[in-house]
Amino acid sequence: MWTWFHRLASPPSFYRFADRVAPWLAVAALLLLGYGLFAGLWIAPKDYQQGDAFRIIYVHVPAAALSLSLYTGMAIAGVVALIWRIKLAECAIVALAPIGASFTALALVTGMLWGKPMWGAYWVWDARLTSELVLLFLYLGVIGLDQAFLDRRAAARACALLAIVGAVNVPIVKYSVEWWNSLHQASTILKFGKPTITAEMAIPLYASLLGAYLLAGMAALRRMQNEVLLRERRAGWVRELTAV
Amino acid sequence: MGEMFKMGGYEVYVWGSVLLGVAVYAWNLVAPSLQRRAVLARLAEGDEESSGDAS
Amino acid sequence: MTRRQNRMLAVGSLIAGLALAAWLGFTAMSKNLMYFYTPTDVVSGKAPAHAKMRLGGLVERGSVSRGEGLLVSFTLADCAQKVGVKYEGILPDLFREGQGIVATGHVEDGKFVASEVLAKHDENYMPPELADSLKTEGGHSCMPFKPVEKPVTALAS
Repeated sequence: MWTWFHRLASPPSFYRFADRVAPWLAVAALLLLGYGLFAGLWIAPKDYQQGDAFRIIYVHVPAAALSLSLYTGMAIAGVVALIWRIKLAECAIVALAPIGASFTALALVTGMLWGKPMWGAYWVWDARLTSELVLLFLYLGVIGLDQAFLDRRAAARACALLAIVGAVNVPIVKYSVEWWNSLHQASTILKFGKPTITAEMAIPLYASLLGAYLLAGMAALRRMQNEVLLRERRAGWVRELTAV
Repeated sequence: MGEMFKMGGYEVYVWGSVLLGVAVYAWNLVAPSLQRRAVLARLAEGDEESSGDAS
Repeated sequence: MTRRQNRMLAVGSLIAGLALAAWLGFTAMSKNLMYFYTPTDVVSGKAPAHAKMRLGGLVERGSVSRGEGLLVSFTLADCAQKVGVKYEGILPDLFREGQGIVATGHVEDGKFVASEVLAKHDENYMPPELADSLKTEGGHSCMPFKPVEKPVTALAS
């Protein structure tokens, strides 16, 4: 188990592993996202209270879920990078930040486009919306910090620290709708007990969710490869690879 | 079919969201490859001193 | 201690410190993080008496009466109390009896005079036919409208 882990954590074998896996992730992601959007927009029935406006859920919820998952992944990579000094974990931090930022921005903007017709306002300063905006600033902070350092290892350590500190915001975003009064609804799918969405609406949503996660996984692998290339540019295996 | 595009009067919000979603998906699909190209170009230059800020 | 154990300790105490700071922060600021007061807060006098504030609750069935032009009055209720609301302006598409709403305004002679009304929809999604057969009458749960002054833990019981 550990020898397998160590082998994958070595940059050249990770590079080859990512090369093999990423194309399949991309294909699966596109199929799932295509089905999810098509079925969500055309086949799913309209909602009893929100009518067709509820279909924004098929973009908004995957983006919002990823904004939290990717940050959690980044913070875990931060802990691993600081304690065990594993190079790949350092690469993962800087690779996940731009992906997470893009999905957080998408969640915020689609949320505004959903809020206007349903709530009656694009934006309110309730606990959920405010903490999600803080999440975007944390991602942008990590990206900025990464670019402020010339030395890649120093950059990764600074980013790791910020990622860990910012992780307190993740449970705040997730549970804000339960702990406090908010205009935002409580969670529909990520809760215990019976799901509060009917199957014909939920299945396209699960497909979109899985598709978005696979797409983010593909992007993360590719960006980690880039970071590995940059850091290992003096290594023999990179020179061999780029000489072609 | 035309009915579906009207989205019960919410078409601007629904299709606007879908368009933005597709744009972010497409960006995440393409951006890593563009970053790869930039990294490879720098490695080819033999740029040994300064190190990366390609993201 | 090895250097790795040292780093583990450092990162561990960082995380523990953050968690503690966050927990203390929330306990202190919990009230400020509430987006709106509830009818219970208004009736018990816990909400600001004349200052501008937000009030959230369910539009009570049969309480909506429309006056001249855009004038409308209705009763807002949470799980325990209710407060009359007056409003002149455009209502959101989702405004209906049994619907959760959040109104901005102030208390005047025991009534809430609103300057803005937003809809707070719940987390249930289903086709209209199913909603009809469930005979929920489109009514939402009063549970999301938590009195600001009660500790959150007391609500669970």
